[in-house]
Amino acid sequence: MHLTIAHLYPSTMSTYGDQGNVICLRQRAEWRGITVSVEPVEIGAPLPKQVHWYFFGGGQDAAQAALAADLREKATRIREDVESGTPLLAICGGYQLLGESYSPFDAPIIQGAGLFPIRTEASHDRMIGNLIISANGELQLPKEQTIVGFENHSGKTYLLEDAAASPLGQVRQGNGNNGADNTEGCLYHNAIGCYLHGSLLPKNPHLADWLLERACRLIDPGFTLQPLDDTLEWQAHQAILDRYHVS
Amino acid sequence: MNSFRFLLAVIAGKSAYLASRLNGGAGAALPGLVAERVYPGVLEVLSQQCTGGSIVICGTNGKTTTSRILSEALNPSHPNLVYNRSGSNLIRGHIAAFLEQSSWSGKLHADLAILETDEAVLPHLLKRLSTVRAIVLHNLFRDQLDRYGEVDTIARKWLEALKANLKPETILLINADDPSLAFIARELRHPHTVFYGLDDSDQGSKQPTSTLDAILSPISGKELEYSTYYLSHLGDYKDSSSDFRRPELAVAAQKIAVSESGFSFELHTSQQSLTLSSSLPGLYNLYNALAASACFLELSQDTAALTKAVKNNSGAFGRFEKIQIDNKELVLCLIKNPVGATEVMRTLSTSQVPYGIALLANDNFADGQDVSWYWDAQFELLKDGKAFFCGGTRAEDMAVRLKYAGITLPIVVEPDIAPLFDRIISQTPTQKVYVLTTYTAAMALQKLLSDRGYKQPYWQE
Repeated sequence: MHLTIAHLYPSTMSTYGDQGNVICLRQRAEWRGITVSVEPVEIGAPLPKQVHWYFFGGGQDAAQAALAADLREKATRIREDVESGTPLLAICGGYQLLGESYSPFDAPIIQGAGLFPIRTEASHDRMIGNLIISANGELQLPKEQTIVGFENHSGKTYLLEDAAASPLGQVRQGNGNNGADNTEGCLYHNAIGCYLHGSLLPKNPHLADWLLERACRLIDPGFTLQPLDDTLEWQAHQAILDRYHVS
Repeated sequence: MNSFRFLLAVIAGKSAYLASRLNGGAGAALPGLVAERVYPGVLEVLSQQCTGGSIVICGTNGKTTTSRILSEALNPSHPNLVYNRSGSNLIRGHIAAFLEQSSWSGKLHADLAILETDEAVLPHLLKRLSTVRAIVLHNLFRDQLDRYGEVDTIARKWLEALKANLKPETILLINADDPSLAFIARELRHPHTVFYGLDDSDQGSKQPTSTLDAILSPISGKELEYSTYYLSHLGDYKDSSSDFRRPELAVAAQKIAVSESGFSFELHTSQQSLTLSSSLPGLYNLYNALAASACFLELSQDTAALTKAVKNNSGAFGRFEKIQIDNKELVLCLIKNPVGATEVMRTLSTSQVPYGIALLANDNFADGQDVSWYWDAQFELLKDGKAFFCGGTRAEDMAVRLKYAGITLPIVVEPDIAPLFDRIISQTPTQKVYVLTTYTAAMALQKLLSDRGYKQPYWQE
């Protein structure tokens, strides 16, 4: 089996260890004999014909403004893929840009790609620190239901009413989407947007496999992944749960 | 000025220094903290007495080594330098350095200061110093985003601070190879600006060597074109959509040779050329020597002192510092951010003898609490290690990083540094062990080593 990963705008949107998620997914595929090619997609470049997983990281404000228009041109294709089951992971800036809109303090509202039914507002609160959530039951993650990472954002994100979307999880430690409503991230079909870096996937192997399995199922609908020895990964996961006494 | 409060502040600060030293501490920050609490203007009054002014050295990586080389080169002509040698580079560390060279009555016995300065502190320091002789802006890499914010944010704050505080007589030294610094210089149009950089395309690469930060042109917003990358985004670049390009070098390093055992290069200015060599490893240390040299040559023509200082510099603590323990040689390397860590690993991977690897990773405030950067550094470079140990508060995260870097040997994970240290010594099959540590883990290890009598406390080196 061969998977194609589209890494959106990696030269400018790869700020917070975002590369770690790509390294992780690729390794977990290759350990199971699944080959992977990672296609960087920069401004002006076309998306690969067939994409099995989209990844979109975070970046500096100037970089985000520079690519917003290009992303809107790609939005229809990404939406069609996601609505037919293609998994996607977007973190921080990538999450915000894939939403409906972003409202800065003193500039006009930036229209997002409109994939996630979310809107984000600039704020003066810097939300920084370890972030632990209980995963949305719809994910049907095996065993462990916590997801751990690190957040660093000042934008406050709010989910809009949409039957097809729900939060990625409920905040146990940290701020999450906006520091007020206890939600973190957004789940829309197999697309996940969130503020969790750290990097996210390496210490959440259940979530990494959730995404990987859905990518494989685009090729073989009945596909299930062989389990791996994730002792080290769970140790790293557990260490942060223990620090905050979350079980 | 309130001279009574000032005097009280000096006495309180110097007493705190003595008390700290008696208790086995460095006295690198506390005296400054105490003195400033007693009299908030203490830095201004002390630094005003420094007739030759202050040299401010700032950048993400290489501040400590650059300052150290410069101080050693200036030492023969200025034996009483004010210098925050321990690397305590917040305002409190600067005050402590001034206090160290002042009498109990607050009179300063030095005519020149070298102040290594934290990136976030630079704007505050510039506001408070009345005489700044020179400012070295060395590089801006992604570092501890949780503390400093993004590279663009820091660059903007530096530019604002310099616009408000840069005096005509101050010498501005800029690493021309860093586009965000070249942009600051372009905006300032300061008459006395000295650009330094590398000029040896055999050394660089046509492709980016590691994670990149500031590669969009600050003028056009388009991606910069590099003819040569030297180290991360440092290189020879131009913007094809505007006239922004790497400035012409006034001080250039040519004919460069670098390895794990040292570097040499020819330094060229319009007036002279010099050959400089050192046993400090890696290209990043060559950058540090170049910055120190460019600054030194603006102040002095004693090239013999410079050559000697570059050659004899053994490196600041935790910068490829070698420690012999029984039959093991430990090489201590600080790692703080993706670019610095990658260059350390690139350098050690050229070692001619087999080696083990220990990684001590903490996530205290001074280390940066966000450990995402482990994934932006190329730990894949460690693949030739013969044994692996992970310690510190983020031992597990580091072990996971190694696993995904393709390390298949078993990884010893033990967060507590003391027992891990014993296992490193007893279980590494090789004589040589590279110990890569974040900042507070380095402090903990230094304390352990000095408690066990393997080395002097770092501030006495």
